[in-house]
Amino acid sequence: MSVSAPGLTEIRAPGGWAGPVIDVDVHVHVPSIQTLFPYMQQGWRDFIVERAVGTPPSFATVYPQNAGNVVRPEWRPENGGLAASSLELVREQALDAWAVERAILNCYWGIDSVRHPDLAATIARAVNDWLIDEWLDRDDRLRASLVVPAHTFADAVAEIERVGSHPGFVQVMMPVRAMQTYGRRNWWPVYDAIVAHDLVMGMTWGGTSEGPPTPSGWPSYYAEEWAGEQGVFMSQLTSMVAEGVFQRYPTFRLAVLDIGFNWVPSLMWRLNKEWKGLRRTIPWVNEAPSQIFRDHIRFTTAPLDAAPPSESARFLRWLGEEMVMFASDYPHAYPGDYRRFLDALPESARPKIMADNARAFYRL
Amino acid sequence: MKNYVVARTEDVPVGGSIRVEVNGRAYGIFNVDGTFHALLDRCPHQGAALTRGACIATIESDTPGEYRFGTSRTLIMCPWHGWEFDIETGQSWFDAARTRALSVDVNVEHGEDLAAWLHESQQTGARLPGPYIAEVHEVHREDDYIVLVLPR
Amino acid sequence: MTTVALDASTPATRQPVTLIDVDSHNIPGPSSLLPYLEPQWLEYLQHYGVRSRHEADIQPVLRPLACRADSVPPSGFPGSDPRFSQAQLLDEYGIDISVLNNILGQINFPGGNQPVPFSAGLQRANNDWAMYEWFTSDPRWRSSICVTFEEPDLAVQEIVRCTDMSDRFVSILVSTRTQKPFGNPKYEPLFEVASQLGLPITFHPGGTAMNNSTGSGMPSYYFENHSTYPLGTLTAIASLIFEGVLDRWPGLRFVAIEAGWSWAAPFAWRLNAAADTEVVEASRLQRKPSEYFADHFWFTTQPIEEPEDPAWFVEAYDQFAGLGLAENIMYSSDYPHWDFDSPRTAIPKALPDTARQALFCDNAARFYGFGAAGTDRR
Repeated sequence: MSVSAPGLTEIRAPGGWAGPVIDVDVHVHVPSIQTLFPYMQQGWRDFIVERAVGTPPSFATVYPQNAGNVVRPEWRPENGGLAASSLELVREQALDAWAVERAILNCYWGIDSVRHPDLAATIARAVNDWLIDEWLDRDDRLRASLVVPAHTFADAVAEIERVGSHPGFVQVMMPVRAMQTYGRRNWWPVYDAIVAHDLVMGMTWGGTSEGPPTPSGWPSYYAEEWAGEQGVFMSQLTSMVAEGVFQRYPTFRLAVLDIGFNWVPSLMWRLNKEWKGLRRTIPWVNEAPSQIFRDHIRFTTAPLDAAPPSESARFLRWLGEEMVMFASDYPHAYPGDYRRFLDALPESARPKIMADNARAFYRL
Repeated sequence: MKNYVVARTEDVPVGGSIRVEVNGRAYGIFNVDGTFHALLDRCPHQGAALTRGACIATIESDTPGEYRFGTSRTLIMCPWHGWEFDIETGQSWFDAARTRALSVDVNVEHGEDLAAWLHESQQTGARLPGPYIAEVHEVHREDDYIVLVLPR
Repeated sequence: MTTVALDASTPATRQPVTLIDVDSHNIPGPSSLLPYLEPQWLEYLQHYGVRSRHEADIQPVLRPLACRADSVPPSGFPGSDPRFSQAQLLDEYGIDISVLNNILGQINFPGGNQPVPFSAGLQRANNDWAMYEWFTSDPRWRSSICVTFEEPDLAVQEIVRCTDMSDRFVSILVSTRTQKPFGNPKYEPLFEVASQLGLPITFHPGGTAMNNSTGSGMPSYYFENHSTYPLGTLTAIASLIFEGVLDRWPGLRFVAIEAGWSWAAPFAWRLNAAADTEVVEASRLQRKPSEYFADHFWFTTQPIEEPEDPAWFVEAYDQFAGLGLAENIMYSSDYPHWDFDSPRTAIPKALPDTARQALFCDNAARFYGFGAAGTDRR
């Protein structure tokens, strides 16, 4: 049994949304490590074969392919292959299905779990080159996040320098679980590069951290871990605000993906409240955290998290209509009726959610 | 407006404060480098007594790692949630336009002047309210006094 | 140890109860626990100190001991003097019952980096200090029980010892951060004893369990630490639900202190979304995740929500109550900490009287079994 979210694929049905759609989060997957061979030196191909290197391990732990919410059944390839692994599939099932004006591809492939620094850098380079060749160069509607190695910051900088100017790359993928909290100053060289190339930082689901993902160790169940991942995003946003990333980089843009938006107002209120009294300990935070959020951060509609549509509309009102961008999160199978969600919104909000906010934020 | 003599200037230490009561309301008298200011002694947040907090200097910054430390203790920090208020204006640091402690006018008067007025009012039998109301203090000519200016 | 009947602790007359504070703090000063430590642990303390990690050491807090600047008694240590706390909290605000949570008890605690029996000895001393200096001082104090919750069998011993001593120990104190998420099978002895004794379990931030407070390492600033107090509770709720704990022990009740409550409704819906898709895991559960909230999770008001638009406070409250949680929110002061909420001023006046009555008194009276609202049976 699976969950169907009729509103997503029926967004374009009669009576649905007829305006532009920009989908800011379409996941694509590398079919196999061999797919990347054309984008590596022979020496690395041999290394991979000799070491029996396959798909990086965190891809399967972050996205177990048979878990209920990872792939919607109708989006599984008929031949049993990997979902979202070819342009043909993604065109038919997503890009054409809701007739996007633009879509931003996010290829989370677990590179963060590759500890060997040079193998990680090699794979990251190959993925980015594959994204250019097989996706960006073949469909004008597409933009993408570039991927970077997670553990050696200088290598992440080098990769941003190498491909960050490609017009198809609008974002740098930084998975939410990281070596250090994202506010810390050690990240500044990476942020220097992101800002120098005028890219968005895309905080996506996934990543590898040095310890357990929760403040209380390792969860037992996938559903438990999935639900609680909200906390990882909360602490990363808190870190970036507290450490003054948005003051040091006044043009910094952060997109928070794969985690919806219902939870954001409560966090914003708490950060504002705490800041009024604790400001002195973080004096560079010279404006309210809620203002920082509005000036620099955007969220997406995926997942809607099973909130009643009127409540999702309430959260959006508290947050602000400019703050949320439509994302299908294809090929994931989250519950959530997008038709009813849009119907619950004021009319002025619908074009903003479906396209305008993304067009402005990503400068599409 | 009425003038209330509430304390001697030497009662209020530099960089510190005292709490006085007039007509059932409490006020904080602050001494910032020899200049006196007064605020209603009640934080606009949840009502804490501001005079129980510390007078502190400003810390400003535009970027992480940068600190501009003020040299004068021009702020009062609420003893509870740490909200910072400018002692002179009452404005909160985080929201100067809309969140403030109530600032009250305060003057310093010489004891000689106050004593002269009191002597005269005693001579004439004039009843208070006069220009000054000395609630607690016997006025000494050689001291200076803090006078709160209140609507009633 | 013989039990002591604390006749002096029970009220002489039945006072109507109108204001209950479910979170205040007795904080041992440097000498408070010494009379209650066994000689071997006194010696150990003097040689090695308490070495379990606490974040206040590494993320400077707003003020000493993170307390109100005006809460320092003559002894110099906020929270250490029962009579001072009684005057400044109970008398000042007309609080009829206040539940003490000695969180130093989870900081100098079973997280590691010191011998387990030493931690157990410290917890016994914490509870004896409450028993012999706080309960005797004023009939309005209650307390949670400090335990080595990472060693559940030892914790059970202490829980039984304390409840035998006094019925004024009213809950079991656990850190919001534990070594494993709190629904983990490791903690089953605590579920069992809590169920048998009808005691709620209190989650309170402060302890670290020697874990990082975020999934990506330790934060740099107290602001981060304090702002993310909800995360431990959020983790515990997801764990308790999906591990099936609430089905196996249907009488278990938890109170989440200092976690806020405006995140509870959206999180309940997110848990539902997870259960909707993860049928293999969720089909074992007897209920939808959101349906567990009303029977099992209580929240406290401090630190009170301060939305950008004050009108949203009542909206958020209505949303929370709409999940069946109108009886699941209780006033807390957090005295003497700096983020203390005054019962006079913290709760927005816009909240209807029925909600205020429930929040200030009735919900806590019902939750802790303090008797029907209006009387204190104890």
